[in-house]
Amino acid sequence: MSGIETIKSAYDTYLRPVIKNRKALAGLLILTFFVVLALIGPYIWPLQMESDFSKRFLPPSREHPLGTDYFGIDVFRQIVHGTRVVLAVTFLPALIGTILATSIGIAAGYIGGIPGRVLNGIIDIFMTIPSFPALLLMAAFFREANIVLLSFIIAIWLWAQPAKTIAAQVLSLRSMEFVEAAEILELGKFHIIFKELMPHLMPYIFIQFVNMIRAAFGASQGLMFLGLLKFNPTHWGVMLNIAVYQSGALYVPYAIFYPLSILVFMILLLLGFVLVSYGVEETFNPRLRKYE
Amino acid sequence: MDGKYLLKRLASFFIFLWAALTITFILVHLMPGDPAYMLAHQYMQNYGISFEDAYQMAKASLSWDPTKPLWVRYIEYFGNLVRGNLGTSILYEQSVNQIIAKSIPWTIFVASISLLLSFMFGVYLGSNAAWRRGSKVDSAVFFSGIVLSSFPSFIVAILLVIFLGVKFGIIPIGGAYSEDLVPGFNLRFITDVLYHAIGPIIALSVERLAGYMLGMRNNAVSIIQEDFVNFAAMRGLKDSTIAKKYVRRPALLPLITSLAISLGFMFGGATLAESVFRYPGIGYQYAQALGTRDYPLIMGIFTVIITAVLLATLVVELVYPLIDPRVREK
Repeated sequence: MSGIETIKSAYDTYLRPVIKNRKALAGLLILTFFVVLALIGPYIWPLQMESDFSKRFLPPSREHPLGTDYFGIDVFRQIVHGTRVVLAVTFLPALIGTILATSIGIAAGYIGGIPGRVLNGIIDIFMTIPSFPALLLMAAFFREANIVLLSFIIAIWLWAQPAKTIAAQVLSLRSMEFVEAAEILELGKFHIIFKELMPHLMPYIFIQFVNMIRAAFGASQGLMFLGLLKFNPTHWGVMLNIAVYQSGALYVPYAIFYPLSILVFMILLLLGFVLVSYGVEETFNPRLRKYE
Repeated sequence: MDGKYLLKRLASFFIFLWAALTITFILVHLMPGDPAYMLAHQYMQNYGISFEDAYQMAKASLSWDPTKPLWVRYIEYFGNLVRGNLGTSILYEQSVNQIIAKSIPWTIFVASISLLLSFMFGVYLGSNAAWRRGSKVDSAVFFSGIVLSSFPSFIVAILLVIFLGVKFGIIPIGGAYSEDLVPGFNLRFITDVLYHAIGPIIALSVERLAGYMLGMRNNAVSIIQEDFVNFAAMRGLKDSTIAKKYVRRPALLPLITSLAISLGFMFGGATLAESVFRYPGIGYQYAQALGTRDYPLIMGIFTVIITAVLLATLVVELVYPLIDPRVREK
């Protein structure tokens, strides 16, 4: 029973106000579309990856709704199959990044003395290292990547800024009366962090998570677009790399449907992330909400 | 600003530079794979020599010797760095310092124009939207800000190449100037350079413009709700005075910081747009170096990118007290 109640109260506190926001709702609808596409799309439109050069760069037709690529493979089916891996290397890095940011951020804000200062120093140093170039630098050491490896090397460059925000929040909460009361009652660090601080931190962590999703999407697409790593060929970034750099479809006027379709899907999904991120920010930032 | 503050900031600049480079060094050397091993295979085929000889050659040209302990490599790396020696590029067989010196001006050129344009337009549109919040102007700015946020530089770059470049032939699709021109200080060359910069500048500006627009709007909307703005209105000050002096100025402050920081990030941020246009700036060279696993060039450019970010931060910390009296008093 208490499990259901927790879910319900989480729904009331986080999801309901977000859905009430029109932007967030529009974004969530876009994201739902892509999640459904990722889940059932590959079964509806199976993919044959055998090349057939007689079908190179075909224009859209009933058989190939978005045309074909250099190898004569259906572009639409590739995009549909790529949705899964695209969503995976977007959500998994954001999740890892959120866990890192939350634990390091709370520790840096709550622990005083030298360990706390060291943690804050590490956060500051990671913040000064530009994340995208650093991500590319690490990627250059691998020949190929899988979803988990890629997610970790993206997450390493995502957590610092959010950790800083969370640490600052913890620092300001620490001097509040209810935390002081809990400390005087000697309720223990575990209780203070999870029962006293966490409820107040959740909206911030949620905003950071949503922002990290957006950042992880951009980072993974950019990285794959440069073609530094061998990865799933239906990932949209890899597809775009093949379209632009490997097959030269960009410079063949009748082939533009191929790169253009990939771009349209990328923009649409990114729009979904942006809408959710602004909607969430508005929902939990009362100053922006006031004038809606 | 006193000497002690200046000294403290300078010290923290060097400490951060050292720490950031050390962390990068450690991460890079903990990575699996031996770049010398890969390069040795390349040398073996190219020069027809035995693997042992090729491996020795590769280790020398990369200054990368996995048989040495980590701390020895670390001291060697910093020794070279302090002497300003970034090594020799494998791809270009030229000193990394030279390649960087050649590419930096191109990136500064396109990236700073893009930054200034998007900043000016963004601040103007954002503050107008906030001032007339709820109006049509506001919704137009907000809506276009959200849509433009979904157009990262490489997507804009590819769209520009497809439509303005290939389909209509309005803008050039590669390079920094026409190949048949000799670089020189003459009108023909300068217009050609400007013409080639249009694509990269637009590509770099779209997402950034959206960021400044929405950032300025949100800052100004928050400030309009402050008591001092209400009080100014009650005192009967003109709307235009309140908009300019009471709202725009404080709302601008955080954006000026972010503009200065973005100036530092411009070398790293231009990688994707520059490589679509094959624009020979530092970002394009970085992508080339990464693609060919040219480690000396990769590390050299990365060092430049980090240094630029830290320099920008240093400038912000030194200049900020001059423009924000609230910080000065502390």
